[in-house]
Amino acid sequence: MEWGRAKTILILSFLMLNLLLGYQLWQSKFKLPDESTEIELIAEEVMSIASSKNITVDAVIPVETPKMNEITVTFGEEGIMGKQVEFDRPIPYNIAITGSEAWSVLDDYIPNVNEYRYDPFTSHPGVVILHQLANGYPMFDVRLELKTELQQFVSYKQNYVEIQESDDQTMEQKVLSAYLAIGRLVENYMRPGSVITDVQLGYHGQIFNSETQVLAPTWRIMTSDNEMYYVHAINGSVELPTKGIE
Amino acid sequence: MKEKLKSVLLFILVVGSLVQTYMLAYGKAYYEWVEDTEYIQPELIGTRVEAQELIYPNDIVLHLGDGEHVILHPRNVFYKEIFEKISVRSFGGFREIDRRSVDWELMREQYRGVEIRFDEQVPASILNTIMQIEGGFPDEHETFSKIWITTNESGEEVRTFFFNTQDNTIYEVTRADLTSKDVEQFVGFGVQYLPKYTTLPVGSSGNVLYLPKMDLDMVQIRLRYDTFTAEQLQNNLFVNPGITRKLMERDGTEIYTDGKRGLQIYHDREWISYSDPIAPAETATDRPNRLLAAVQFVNQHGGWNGNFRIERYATLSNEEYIFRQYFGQYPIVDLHQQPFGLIRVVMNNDIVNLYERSKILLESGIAREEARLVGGEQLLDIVLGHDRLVVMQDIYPAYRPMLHEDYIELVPVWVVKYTNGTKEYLY
Repeated sequence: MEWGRAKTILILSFLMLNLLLGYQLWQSKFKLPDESTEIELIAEEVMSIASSKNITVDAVIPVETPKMNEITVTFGEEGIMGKQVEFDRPIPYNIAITGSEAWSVLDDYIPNVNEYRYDPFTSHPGVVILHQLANGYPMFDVRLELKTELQQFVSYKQNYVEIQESDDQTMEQKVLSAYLAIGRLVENYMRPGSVITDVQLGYHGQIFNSETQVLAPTWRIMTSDNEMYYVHAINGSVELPTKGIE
Repeated sequence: MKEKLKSVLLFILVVGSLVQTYMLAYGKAYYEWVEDTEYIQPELIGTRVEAQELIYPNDIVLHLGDGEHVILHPRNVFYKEIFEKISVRSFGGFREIDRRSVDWELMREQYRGVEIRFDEQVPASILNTIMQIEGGFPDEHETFSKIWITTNESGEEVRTFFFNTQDNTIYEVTRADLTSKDVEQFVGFGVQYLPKYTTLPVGSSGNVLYLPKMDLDMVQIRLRYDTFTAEQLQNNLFVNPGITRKLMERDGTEIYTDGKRGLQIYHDREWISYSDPIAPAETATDRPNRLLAAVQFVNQHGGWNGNFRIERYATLSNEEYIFRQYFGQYPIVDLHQQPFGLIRVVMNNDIVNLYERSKILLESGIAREEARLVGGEQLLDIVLGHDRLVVMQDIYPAYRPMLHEDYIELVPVWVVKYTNGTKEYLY
């Protein structure tokens, strides 16, 4: 009967269709999301642009691209805004230790000192700078500054914010990779001959004369001549560079 | 039996292909869907202008000879006629001259001529866009604040000077196609015109103040106004208004920010300040293009809704543009820190970093009455008795805006501008 033959043909053609679709599915599931090779490609390209402009990268470039969101922080209630305190007695510290234990000596003197992280790139002789952390990332505008004299802490100036619960988790977006941020800079903004010394992900915002501030995920990129670039980690816009911390 | 098996197999294959097609079409689990954000047209109701329409002199002084002068303000019919004519005539062959080689006082008081005065220094490259400059300026970075076209004693010869008041540099134009007939025509406009002005020399730099011999007729007017709403501004100034957050200040100031851009709204003064610290790319644009970018920005973010003039042009070190609003022929001068009638744009290359303005939109008038600005002896007495007379640079009629709950009042007033750039009302 012809119906039997027709079925055989149909079976064969559907089998081929299934195989084709199956291959496509497999490809879309397992082939495309090869992010690491993508990042490698970007990295290669960025580095070649950099070297063509004689810009060198002398820093560890983070590969992470976590999901982040703008955060709202407030100096109100629990927060501290620019409180300046002199220690009754200078507190000795060991310059060799830079881990978290280095600051444990200050536990008794400075509130919430364990919520800060040391920033060797903006610290300079006489002033040690730490940034308060939010979700594990430094808030570049919220600083604890420790004045030192002869290996002793003599005074400090503290900013401390309360991080308000993010109301909208769905707005979180994967941040741009550090290489893309560097790419933006080397292509259009940095002078030839610059040396990139540090690349860090954190939070930064335009600071208003207000209790509450909004900080956006930002890549902070520093150069050897102490120029600090902030690149928005979601939309990639570049801020006017500043010379270190004013 | 075999046929039945084939049917089942075929059925499975058909279903299988359908399922796989579905998975391919909708099952792209690896692509992240970024929330669609509503795209809002960045238009904010307002009138647009071309940059050229904002570049015009502060006033035109006609020197009639015999110590008599007439001052014409923007939008006066004679002012327009003279300015239009001068902007199509060509000037060329700039030659720097020694300030002392010309008797300026004699020229001002006795010879017939036209002086075109700008508020502050206008960059040569900008002036080039509204005038016919043959062969360009000697120095593209030169700035000018005054052009003086004058005849000599016999009235036959015409000389033209370009002044850089700030650096005290004067150029004489050696090739100009303006004739003595043109100058006579310009000056002729002033013969019947009232009021006439006299000069009062102040300081030691040869600067003079022009004072009217009689009172000045003006109007005092009340106008209704509308304002931009916070929502309009937010939608207009932020690319993605959905992610901006609103912060409230204790003093009632509202702040909108997405962590990078910021919009501050001061409700008591109806004033807004928008800042975006974005850096420009390395490629530099020239000044006329920067001005275009600044004007374009205002066009797209609120517009002009009235007559404006560029009062301050960006300099090499300070990229600030100030646009001054006019009512009729006179500028609106508000000495408050957050003034009505002024738009301030700070550029960095071709990028706007700061945009400040009033969010008031003038509407129809509700009351209008005749008013006079004191002139003659009375004004002279006030000026002569003023303790800062020696540092006065200019004195001119303006409107002082008074903000009320539901209307704005424009009050005629004399404004004194001092040599350091500050202004004051004269009573």
